[in-house]
Amino acid sequence: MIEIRIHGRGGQGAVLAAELLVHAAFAEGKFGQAFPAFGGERRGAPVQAFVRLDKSPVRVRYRVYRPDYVVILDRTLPDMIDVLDGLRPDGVVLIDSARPPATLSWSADAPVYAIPATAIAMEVFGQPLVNPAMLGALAAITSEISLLSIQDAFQRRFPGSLGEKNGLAAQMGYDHVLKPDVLPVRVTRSPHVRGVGQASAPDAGLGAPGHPLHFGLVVAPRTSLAYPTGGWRYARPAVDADICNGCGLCVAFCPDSSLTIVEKQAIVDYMYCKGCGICSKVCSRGAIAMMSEEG
Amino acid sequence: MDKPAVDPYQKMMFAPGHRACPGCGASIAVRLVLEATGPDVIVVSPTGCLETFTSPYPYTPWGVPWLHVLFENAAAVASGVEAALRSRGSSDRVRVIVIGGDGGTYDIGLGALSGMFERGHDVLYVCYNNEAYMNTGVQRSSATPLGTATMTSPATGQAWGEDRPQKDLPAIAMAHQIPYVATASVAFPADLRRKVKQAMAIRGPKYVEVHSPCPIGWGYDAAETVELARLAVNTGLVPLYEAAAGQQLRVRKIQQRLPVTEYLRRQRRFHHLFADANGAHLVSIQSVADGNVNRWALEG
Repeated sequence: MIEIRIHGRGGQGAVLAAELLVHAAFAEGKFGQAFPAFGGERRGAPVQAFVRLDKSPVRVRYRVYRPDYVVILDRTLPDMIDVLDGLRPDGVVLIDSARPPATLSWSADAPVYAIPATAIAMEVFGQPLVNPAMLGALAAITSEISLLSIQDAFQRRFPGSLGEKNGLAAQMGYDHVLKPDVLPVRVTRSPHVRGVGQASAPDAGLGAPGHPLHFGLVVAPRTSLAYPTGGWRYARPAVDADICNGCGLCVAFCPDSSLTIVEKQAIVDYMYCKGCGICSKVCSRGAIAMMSEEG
Repeated sequence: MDKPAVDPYQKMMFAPGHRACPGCGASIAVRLVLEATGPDVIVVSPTGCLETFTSPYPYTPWGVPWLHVLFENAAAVASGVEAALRSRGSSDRVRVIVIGGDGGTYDIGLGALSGMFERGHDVLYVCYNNEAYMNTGVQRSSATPLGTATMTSPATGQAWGEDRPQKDLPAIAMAHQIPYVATASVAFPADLRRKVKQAMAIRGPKYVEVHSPCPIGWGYDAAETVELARLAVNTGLVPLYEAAAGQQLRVRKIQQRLPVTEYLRRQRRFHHLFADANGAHLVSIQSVADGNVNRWALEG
């Protein structure tokens, strides 16, 4: 049995990727399971999806704690959560990135394949739909599942031209890995920084030893300030100080209370800004531009 | 840009770090409402998106006391909180508001809401209306407009999405002869704040509804929340008005009315209406807007 953990963000398609991977396995007469894990978080928040593939029926039903493969759909995720948690000693990592990451706060040494899935997706779809290229690359690396099965799974889910585009992106991800100069880079372990998305809260649930049972909870005001949602962002608003006159229109419309006016200038708090882009749209002077986080 | 030297969040009533989706209209509504009420309020919320994205223990964006109760009883609990404040002699200093979604207001909490109105509690009930059950993945509510595709009002085969008219809850509130009812929109913050201030100046039950677009449930780019809210008003689909004791007080006039298609075509939930055979349904929705314009004299 091989176990795969896919890290993505809400709305990005990690859950779909897991499902299609298992559908591809079914088509090859294999067994498998796919299921996601996420909390009350919304679009943009880190999510995980789990996949198990085997030649015989998969009976276990728990999350994947010891993955053989970790697939990371968003390269900013390793700064937020320990994506390598529990990776097997011979485990392999695939990350959507133009080049192998040099410094990441990971808990293990690991061979890492950098797959330019966003670039491929922008070329094929004009949108950052990274799934097909990542799964195509996985097919090239694992030999557990064929590229053709993955392309068929996409085609069945998205009949017509969209399916074909997915198939093409999968092929491009596959081809990328087979290039002679593409080899996994061993990224060494570095101390993991407990950052965004990691609860600094009690690990034990209510009723656990030493933790009193409550039926009502009282917490201090504004504790969410310890939960920087800025990591959800795909694009960042950049205020042009020469154009902004501090009118405050953007402040009134910010869903995340992440804008303030200081000395007649709009200031964005990137710690919390989720990059929705409303401020850029409502600014009557065009002083706010949305810049890609991919840089 | 550097962070400002003064902590801007020190006294904020609705802090960042909450987990609403990017571009969430309800988040804008809640912050604007609290800016108008000031800090001396107790907020009660029924189940819904607002509850979910503001309460993953132990993180809370609330800078005012906040209670989460069941889907069906926010108005009843708020009534109890108000009665307790009165009995303690602090009802002059601390006021009670409910902030809930359309599912908890139009559907599940309607009985308790009616009771709160008719018993005359000094509570402001704010409904952020995003026109479906978004928290659970976009199921229709009785606030879902005509023609909307949701998970439970799909546009497949002969079906063209929601085929029943939207419930007129502000009219139901008005029928209780309560001292203040208003509709507002996240697109018009000054208007919304003024209406909430107006409501807070009055003792007794008040109802303010805030039209709050949802990028996920409606299917549009998160940056367009305010634009869509403005289009809903400027097409006449969302009339903004105030009423007291069952009588219309004033309306926000539409400067230049747009056809409903300008609003509908920008949302995935209405895309099926633009298939050729369905032209008739666009006419039905236009007549809803025309009806609003006539009824509330929104033009001129």
